[in-house]
Amino acid sequence: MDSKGKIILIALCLMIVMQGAFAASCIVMSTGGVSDMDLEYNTNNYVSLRVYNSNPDDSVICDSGEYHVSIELIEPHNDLDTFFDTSFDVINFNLENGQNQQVLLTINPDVDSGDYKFRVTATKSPTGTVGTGSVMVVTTSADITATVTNNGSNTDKPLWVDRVECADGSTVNSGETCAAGVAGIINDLTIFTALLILIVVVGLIIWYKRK
Amino acid sequence: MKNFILCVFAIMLMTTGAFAAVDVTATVGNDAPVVGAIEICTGSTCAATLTADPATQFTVKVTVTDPNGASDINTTAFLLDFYNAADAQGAGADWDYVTLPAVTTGTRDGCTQTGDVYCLQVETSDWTTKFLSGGADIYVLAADNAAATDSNELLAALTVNATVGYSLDAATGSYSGQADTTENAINTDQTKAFITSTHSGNVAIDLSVAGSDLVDGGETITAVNQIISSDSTYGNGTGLLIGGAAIESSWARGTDPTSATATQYFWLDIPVGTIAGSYTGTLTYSSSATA
Repeated sequence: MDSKGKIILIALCLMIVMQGAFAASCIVMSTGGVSDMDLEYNTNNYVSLRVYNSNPDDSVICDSGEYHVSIELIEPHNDLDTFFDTSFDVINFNLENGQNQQVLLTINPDVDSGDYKFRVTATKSPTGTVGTGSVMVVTTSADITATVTNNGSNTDKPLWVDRVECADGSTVNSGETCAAGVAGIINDLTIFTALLILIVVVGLIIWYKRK
Repeated sequence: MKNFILCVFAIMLMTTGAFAAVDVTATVGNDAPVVGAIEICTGSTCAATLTADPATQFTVKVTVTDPNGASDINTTAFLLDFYNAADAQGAGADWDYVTLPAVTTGTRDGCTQTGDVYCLQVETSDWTTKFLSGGADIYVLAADNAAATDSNELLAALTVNATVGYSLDAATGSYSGQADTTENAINTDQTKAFITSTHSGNVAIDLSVAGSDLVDGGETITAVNQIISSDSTYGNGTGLLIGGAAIESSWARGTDPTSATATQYFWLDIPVGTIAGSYTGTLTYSSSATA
């Protein structure tokens, strides 16, 4: 092989090595294909998740990192914990390049009926440090639609409890006070005002009759 | 005398004929093996169907007999294919068509390899998260030592779950510049002025990006000073939003073997009066399956 051929060969080898050294922030999640899930009141219902630190393209090596899973209730937009008991068997876990982790989500309804949509999110924590700049956070989400069916049992937290939205976006039961909001206070004030008006009216009637 | 000699000769002939060996030959033909029932095993259970995440391990349990005896089956020549139900058996290998010639056999996942039962092993690395969600067929071909073959196909036996996700070709990016300057390009840990995201799932996704404020102690460069553009022209960019903004909608996975990719260029505008320091924040890429 002449020197020109050697140079080309070396260049190709370098290209291959550089391609192999390519590193990435990777995240993939499967939610077990769940949709239109039937949930039973006061019963543990299970959803299998799997989080991957992989990329199907062979040239990509995924950075190892810490992953985290979470769940929120997005329809109706209410506090998840008010209506459901939920838990993951694993919440935080480390994945090396090419690895995956199965996660079992348990959903136990405290309500006796209704249609709900959950959002399950996997997040890969920031890796590395920078001077002035940004570290990457990668997340991926999947929605789970579910219907809670009534099996005749009594409910601990029935749906007829009116929920009031606070100024900060959180919700409280009607009559409760928002932690830092306004709507709940207004709601409380509304009840208080109504009682006050009633007392005043009754007082005026009594006063008028005595007069 | 003459008669005596003839008599002896005749006896010799008769005697010779009585002791002559008769060669008997029998030709036994080779029969092809017979591929029988197929099941799919995972964990410790085998069944006719399986719902599974792509890029996960499972084992195919198959019964194979051979009229010439079990020893005639070539156990190193099993072919296992599995492919999306829309594909035809024998199609070319791609994301949705996995072909495993000389697949490894052995007891695993609840399949016990013994007698006529063989356990064909599918590894995590044999397929990817791009394998199309939905039904898939399984095909097994067995050969004997004379290369005679038989096959069987299990239709829509495997249901592949949907996957959502992507990768970024960077973990960090930094800006460098003076106060009261604009168009300070990002420099990623891959020494690029842009970040490329690659679709890694098997369904269409929506992808968005959000930026946080860059903070150094009590000093802040607000997120909107980070400019993002899908091309290298700064003037086409817009300020990053803390709440995030879509960069891809109904983003398909691409066409094998080329994954779908999207590129975003970033710059930092550094406001007048910004105190010198190292400001840090986060860029958050988020995906979800397209509704």
